[in-house]
Order: sequence, then C-alpha cells, then structure tokens
Amino acid sequence: MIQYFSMLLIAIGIYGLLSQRNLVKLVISLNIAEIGVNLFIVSIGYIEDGLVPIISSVNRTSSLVFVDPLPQALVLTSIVIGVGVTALALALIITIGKTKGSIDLTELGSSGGDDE
Amino acid sequence: MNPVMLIAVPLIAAFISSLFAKRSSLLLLFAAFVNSVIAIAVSLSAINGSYSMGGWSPPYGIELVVTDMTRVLVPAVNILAFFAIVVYWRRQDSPGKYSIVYTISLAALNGILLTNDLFNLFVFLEIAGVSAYLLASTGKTGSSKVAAFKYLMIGSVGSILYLLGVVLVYATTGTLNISEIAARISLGQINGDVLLLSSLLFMIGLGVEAKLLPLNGWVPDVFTKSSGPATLVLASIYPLAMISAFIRVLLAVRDERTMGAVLVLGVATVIGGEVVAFGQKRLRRTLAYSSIAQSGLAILLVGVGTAGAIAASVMIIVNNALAKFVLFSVDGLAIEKIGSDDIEKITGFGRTSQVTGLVFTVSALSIAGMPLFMGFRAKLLVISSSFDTGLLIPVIILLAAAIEATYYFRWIFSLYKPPFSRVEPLKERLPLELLTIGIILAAVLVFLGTSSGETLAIFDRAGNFMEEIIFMGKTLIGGM
Amino acid sequence: MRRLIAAIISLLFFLMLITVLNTETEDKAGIPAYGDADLSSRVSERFVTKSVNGYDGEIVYGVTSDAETGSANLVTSIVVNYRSFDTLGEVTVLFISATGVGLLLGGGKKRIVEEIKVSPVARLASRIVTPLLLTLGIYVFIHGHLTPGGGFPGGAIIAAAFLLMMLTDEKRRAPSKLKILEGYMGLTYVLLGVAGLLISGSFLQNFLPSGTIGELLSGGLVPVVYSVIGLKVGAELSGILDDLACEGSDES
Repeated sequence: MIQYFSMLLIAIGIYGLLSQRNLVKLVISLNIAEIGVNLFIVSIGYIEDGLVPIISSVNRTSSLVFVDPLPQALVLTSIVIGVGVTALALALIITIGKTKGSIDLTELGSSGGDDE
Repeated sequence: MNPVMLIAVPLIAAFISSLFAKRSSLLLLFAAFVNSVIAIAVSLSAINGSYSMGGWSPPYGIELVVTDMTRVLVPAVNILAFFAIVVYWRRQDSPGKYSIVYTISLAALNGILLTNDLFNLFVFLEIAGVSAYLLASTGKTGSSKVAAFKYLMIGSVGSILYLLGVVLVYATTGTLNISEIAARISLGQINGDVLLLSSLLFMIGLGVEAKLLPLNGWVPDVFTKSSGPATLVLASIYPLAMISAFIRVLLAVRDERTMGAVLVLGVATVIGGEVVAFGQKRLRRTLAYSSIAQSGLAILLVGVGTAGAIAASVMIIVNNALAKFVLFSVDGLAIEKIGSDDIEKITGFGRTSQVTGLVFTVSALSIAGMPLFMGFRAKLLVISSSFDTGLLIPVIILLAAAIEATYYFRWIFSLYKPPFSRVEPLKERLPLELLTIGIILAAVLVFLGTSSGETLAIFDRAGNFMEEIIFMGKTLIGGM
Repeated sequence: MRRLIAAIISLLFFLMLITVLNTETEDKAGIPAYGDADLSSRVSERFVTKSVNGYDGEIVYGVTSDAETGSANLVTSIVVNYRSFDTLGEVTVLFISATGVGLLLGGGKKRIVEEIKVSPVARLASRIVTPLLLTLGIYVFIHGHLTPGGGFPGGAIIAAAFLLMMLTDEKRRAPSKLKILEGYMGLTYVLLGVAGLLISGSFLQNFLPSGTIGELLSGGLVPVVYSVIGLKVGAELSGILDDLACEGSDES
C-alpha cells in the first residue's frame, strides 16, 4: 500500500512541475516528488516483523531479523541533498525576484529577455 | 598513485578556500595544476583495476575503477580545467569569488569518471549538478539567474528519476556495484519489465545533463548568458564526464528496447541541433546548438552499442571538448574586445589577430569533420559503426554533417572577410595565455587527425571497457 | 490545456511505475512484494552481521569487542563506515549549496525581513528553550552510533535552535565565526580520510580501535566523524538561514 502511495506522490510532484508557473510552487512540487522517492526507497527495505536495525539492550544479538539498513542510509543522503538543492533554488528565486520583479515563469519569458 | 587523490585534492583546496576567501582563486589554480599532474600519473601508470574506499572490498564497499576509458578521459578533464583557469586568469571576468565552485566541480567531475557504484555516482552527479547551477548563474544579467533556475528544475527532475532507477535496480539485484549489476543483467537474471523501466529512468535521468532531446531546453539560455569561464567549463569539460556516465550506466543496465529509444532520440537531437544552429546569427548561440548536436551524436552511438561505436563516442566527446574550448574562448575574446559576437560585427576579426583566426579555423573544421583534423577520424568511425543499424542512420549523420560544415564555413568566412568600414587595429595586447593554449589545443587536434593508427588504438581500447567491467562483476558474483 | 497534458503525463508515469511492483518470480529477480524482501540476497546481510571481512560469529550487545565496525546502530555503520565515501559527497553537496546561497545572497549588512512583533513571554521562553535544543542536538550527534539520529539530524536541531533565536529577536545575526567552523570541520573530514589512506592503505579507512558494542567510546572513527558532521551541518544550515534573512541588501 505504501509503495502505491509513494508512487502517487511522485506523480503529483511531476504534475506540479509540469503545470505550475509560480517559481515557489515549482520548488514545492519538486519537494513533494522527492518525498515520494524517499518513501519508496525506505519501503523496499521493509521486512515483515523485522526489528529496528540497532543492536541495543532490548535486541541483543545480530542474528535477529532486522529490516534492511541500507535503504535507510541511502535516504539519509538523499534528504540532505534535497535540502541543499532546495536552499539553492530559494536563493535563486529571491535574486530573480529582486532583479526581475516577478516570479512567474510566463512573465519571465521563454528566453528571459534579450539583454545579452 | 591512488586515484582518490584526484577527488581529495580539490576538496581540500575548496575547504581551505572557505577559510581564506581571498586566496580562493590561487587555491583553484593550485588544485587544478596538481590534479593535472596526478591525472597524467594515474593514466600512465596505474593498473586497470579497482581501488576500494574505506578498505571494504566491493560490492560491500565503494570502489573507484580505472579502465581504458578513464585513462583517456581523466587527463582530458583535469588538463582542460587547468587550461580554463589559466585562460581566464587575468581577465575581467575571471572566476573571482566563485573560484570555490570551480574547485568543487573539478572534484565532482573526477568522481563521476572514476566511481563504480551507482549511488556514489548519484551523489557525485548532484555535486556536479549543484556546481553547474551555480556556474550557470554567474552571468552579469538577471536573465542568467532565470536560466540557472530553469536548469536547476530540469536537472533536479532528472536526478529524482535517476535515483528511482537506482532504487529499482537495488531492489531486484540487491547490490549497488555497477560491475555486479552489469554481470547479473548480462546473465539474464533480471525481470524484463523492471529492466526496461529502470533503463528508461536512467536514460531520462542522465539525458538531462547529456543534452538529449527533449530535455535540453536549458542549454541555449545557460550557454549564452553565463560568464566566460563558466561557459567554457560547462560546454567543454562537463560533457566529458556526463556522457561517460551515460555510456557506463546505460551499457550496464542494458535493455534493447531502451537502446532503440536512445538511438531515435539521439538522431532527433542531432538533426534538431544542426538545423537550429544553422539559423543563428550570434556565435554563442550557434556554438550552444552545435554542442547539443555533438552530444546527440555521442548518444546515438550508445544506442548502437558496439565496441566500435563506443570508441567513436569517446572520440567525439574528446574532439568536442578540445575544439569547443578554443571556439568558446575566441568567442569570449570577441565579446570582450569588440563588444559583440554577432556575425556582422566580427567580420575581419581574423585579420586583426592572425593567431586567433587560425586556431578558430582549426577547431571549427575539426568539429565539422574536415580531413586533417581529429574530427574527421571521429566522424569516419561514427559513420562506419552506424552502418550496423542499416543505411538510414549513416545517411542522416552525413546530412547533419553537411549542414554543420556549411554554417561553420560561414563563420570562418565572416572572420576573414575584409570589413566594410575601416576597423581600427586593436590597441590592447591579446591575452598571451589564450593564444598559447589555443595553439596547443589546435596542434593536438591536428596531431590526432594525422597520426598513425597506434595513437587511435587508445580509443579502441576505451571502447572495450565494458567487457572488463562485466568480467569484474562475474568474479564478484562467483565469489559471493 | 496545459494542465490536462500535465495530468495525462503524470498519470502515465504513475501507471508505468506501478507495473513493476510485486514482480518477483522463481527464475528471474524482480521487485519483491512489500514486506517480503529477502535480506540474504542483498549486500545488507553482511552489514547486519558485521561479516564483510569474513567474521562469522554472533554480535552481542555489550559483549562483542573489536568487531569490524564497533557501532551498535547498523545504519550508522553503513553511513559512516562501509559507505563513508557517499557521506563525504553528501557533506560536499551541503557545503556547495550553503556557499552558493552565500555567494548569491551574501553580504547583507542587516536583516531586512519584516519585523515580527514578539511578546516578552515568547522571548523569555525561547531563551529557556534554546539551550535545551542545543543540548538535544549535541546529544543526538554524539550518540549517533548507539541510538537513531547522527550528525545530520543533530546539526538540523542545532540550526532549529538558531532559528528560534532569530525568530524571537529581530536583531540577532549568526556569529561570524560560523563559516570558519564550517570550513575547518569539512577540512577535518577529508583529512581524516587522507589519514586513513596513509595509515591503513585505503581512503577513509577506520583506523581507531572499535571497542565494545554498545559503549559510548566505541566504533573507532564513527563518533568523531559524526561530531564533525553535526557541527558542520549545524553551522551550514544556520549560515543559510542567516543569508536568507539578510537578503544581500546592497549588491546586484
């Protein structure tokens, strides 16, 4: 079930990226798609009745059934990369807003004006 | 010499630059120079093999792998990066405070060329991508920020799809090591639907940076609006790494139907690029569309998939890197000295500066594929490899080459035509670095175009790299 | 019209993606059904039992010492030890993004975001909560190898503490030493890698003893690296927040 849901999130994100004109909404759609991908990555590691992959005083040995820790490590990296790209996108939006006065894709034109 | 130093040295230089911001351009020059030396050492001496990171043997750990293809591309990337910094060292639009971005992009491009792990490739693609978005925003006008933003959007969509492909491959094969994945797929152990979908996702994901149609909307704006050194790096050095990544991943996760799609889209990219380039009046836009066409050429050869086709693809991107370097440098020079790169305005530029005109002509003819230059040998190999797929593709390539030659000749004539009005001789001296490096690169193009077959054997060996990778993978599976 | 095309493309995408779920069969590997992943066919099997180098005993909490990686948190052992190179790349992405934000928006002399009217109660309360948040963040990254968390969430909590201070005090700026901290921490991580190369022969190899599973001083290099990352990420995210609040007033 969760895998279908994460695919749905990715599809919603892609719809947003294709149809929205406001730059901030584009960044939000990108984030939704990224959440969908991260959710999907975690879901492929799930094992029925598996334990949290930490050896602790409760789960004392390594021969118990744990869920797959590798997708969780991949997601850690992916989330951080998403944060970095979002921060950069927002900084670009602020700069565009200040120099061009608008943050709407159609007003910014298809080739951004002819001031070369 | 451990090739990880090619990545560690620029990273160290970049972190030190953030502490001593005033010295960042000096650190960039230093890192690029050291990297070039290490790259040549790695290419000449290191054995073809894997270098594991962290001491964990693959596939449990990450490995860097040196193949015949990396031997060709790694020195090219590092030396060209060094040249790019030297060319813009004392000019007005030198990197300045953006030097740290160039340093990191150098580390990332080396990482892309060397790594043999799918997720590690994703991380390095992201580093290179973020650096590219920043480089694209370095233009003087506000439109360059808009172009950079659009590039960011398309690039991020591409990386999301690439990550999805990586995850699908991991869920089925259980490993992230490219050799092992290639071996498993070549042994036919993977479900066909999953293979098809993941290879399509990889094609779209990597196709954004590789300028595949219809994902190359970002190219004209970014190449025309960003600053001089940024365009140089993005146009001549980035394709070396990005297309090598495209080649490696699509040959590892190989599905015949996707190869067909790659072929079709590659041909469309070539035709689209050449036709639109024909009608452009400004040099930079012409060169941007010509870059799209060259990428298309390299990609459609991946669709063909034979070892000869891959060798041709490597030759095309190396030829493109060298020649576009010179062409974009001359363009930057024209904009700086004359004020514009319009076809009307630069008439006679070749007469006022003989050396500039000469190196421009050599590079333009090499891209167009004229005999005596490397481009001719490359195009010959391209056409002979594409005969494997029937008669239609070679004909289209020849047609595109004809269009290309026409507009490049037009630009060369414009450089040498006597100007309408008396143009005053340029008062300032032309930058010596640019002329020297231009002559070096032009000489390399001529050398590779006229030398005997042995020097081209390195490209043939580069074309065969996939066999080695699959062999390494099979030993991994056997041992698991 | 445009929305219709966008909707159709997304729908096609969704359908394409769900066709590959649940495709595992007898003779060809596919995507396993949800919950049925077979760990023994994946590389993670050896990560869980810490047997990449061939050790085949059981790992027991508080008893096993000098295992190949000492951290009790299996995800941490992957992120910082087995796949440490990826983490170096990730740290670099965050670094270049923060630097990019600073280059695009930097140089602001004062905050130009709308002043928020904050009541004295909120102001006092935030000053009580901030040290607690900082302590929590430091706890999370120091204990990364024993409990869930680690460097990245710890750094994010530190940045959240800073955000709280910024929201309730109009004049608060980031200390200027943050960029220096960030640069030094990044340098430390790469130099630890090179040290691993020189001492043990591979880049980023763990060269400290790995101790007993479950103790604070275990895992060799892991707590050190996670602390470095935690401080770096905290400094970076705080720097980004500061740049966004000042919006580079005089330039461009």
